[in-house]
Amino acid sequence: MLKYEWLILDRNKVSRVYFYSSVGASLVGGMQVFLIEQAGFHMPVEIVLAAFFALGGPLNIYSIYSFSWESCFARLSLQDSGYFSEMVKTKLLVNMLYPTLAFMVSASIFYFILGQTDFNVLFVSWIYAAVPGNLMTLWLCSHWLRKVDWYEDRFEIIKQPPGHILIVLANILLYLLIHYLSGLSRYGPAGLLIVGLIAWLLIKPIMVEATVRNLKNASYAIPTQPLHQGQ
Amino acid sequence: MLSLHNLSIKVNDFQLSFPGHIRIDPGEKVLVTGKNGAGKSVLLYAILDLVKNRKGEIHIMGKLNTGDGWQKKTGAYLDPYFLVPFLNPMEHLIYMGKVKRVRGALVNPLMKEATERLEFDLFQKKLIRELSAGNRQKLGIISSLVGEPGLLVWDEPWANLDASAHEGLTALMETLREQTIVFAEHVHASGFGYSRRLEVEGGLVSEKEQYHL
Repeated sequence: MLKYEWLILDRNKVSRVYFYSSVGASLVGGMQVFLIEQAGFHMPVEIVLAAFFALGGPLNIYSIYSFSWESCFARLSLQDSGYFSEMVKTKLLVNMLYPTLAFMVSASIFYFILGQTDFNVLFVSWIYAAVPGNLMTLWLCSHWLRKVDWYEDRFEIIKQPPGHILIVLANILLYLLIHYLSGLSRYGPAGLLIVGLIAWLLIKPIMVEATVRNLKNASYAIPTQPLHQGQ
Repeated sequence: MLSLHNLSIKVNDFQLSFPGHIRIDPGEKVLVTGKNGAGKSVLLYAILDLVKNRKGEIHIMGKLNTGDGWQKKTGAYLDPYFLVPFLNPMEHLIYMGKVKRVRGALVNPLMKEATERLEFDLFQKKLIRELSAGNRQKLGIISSLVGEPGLLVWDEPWANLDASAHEGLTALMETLREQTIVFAEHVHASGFGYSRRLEVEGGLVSEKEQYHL
């Protein structure tokens, strides 16, 4: 299924443009963190938000547009819960892989090029993006599916419904909360990692089930008629 | 194989009802007829649980169609969205194999026969969105045979086919003796012998004819 996730991104103009621009935004966000750190400014909130957009931003964008599917998946699977469940798990994995790669690249640049050794902000961002942000975003997105017609391979600016704006705001709040709580913990990053793992094991099955239920409810062929008749 | 019981389907202002009970046995070929816009396709989508506002019960292979367990052995092609537009034909079939959790060889004897009779090139590199309507139709029919399904649901399967593929499909359907096929078509268009005919007219589905082929 991972291969098909890649093909969704690579073979459709709309997803390709949004995906590559989100990667670009991530790089710019990451650079912003380094520049602020190097300049010696003490702007913790800005640094925190920059790290959020460096690692969490693409997660939001990918999650939102990865559900911009059109009716074919519901039709192919004939509303089979097992298929939807596998698809959600694949998207969770992709959403986990991306921030992990971003974290590794950012941390390497921090350490080897800039000589930084304090990775706490990036680490908190990574934990947030890989676990709670990942689960929450996919679940929230399943309430407001956008449908893109892949027969018409063209780029279009997708107008964000208010729900999607709320999803981004919810992510910022969740991230700041996690960052704040991590500062209170005396166990440091290791404690946060353990809490993240426990959350992944306990909350993931519940969130996957709830997401699948939403997807099934939103995926009926009728009354939603296809945009493209094709015949 | 398939049973419909007291169906009531609502799509915006349109209502379709089937007051009664019908049981379709394995191997039956069921033709659904009706005028344009009568609701033939709506009935087929409802069988596949793809219509939201529906009352009544539909069982496929003894299972309620609102649940799971029947999809693996059901194949369908009702519109081009049963294909993934950004894949080429072989990639699409491989994906269908994953969706249906097919073990072993993906291209089964039924698919081989359908490919030959419909004269379709499975290995062409064109993406599905670049195929002609007729070739999409052929691929849709072949794709519905992934996993050797017991129930096939097709909407106007002869539409867009050229003359030789038209004959090929008729011959293919005659060889699918073990499969139950429910298909919507205008009664004169197919030239295929059916065992039962359901007519959709004035928002009502009724059984018109039943033969023992």
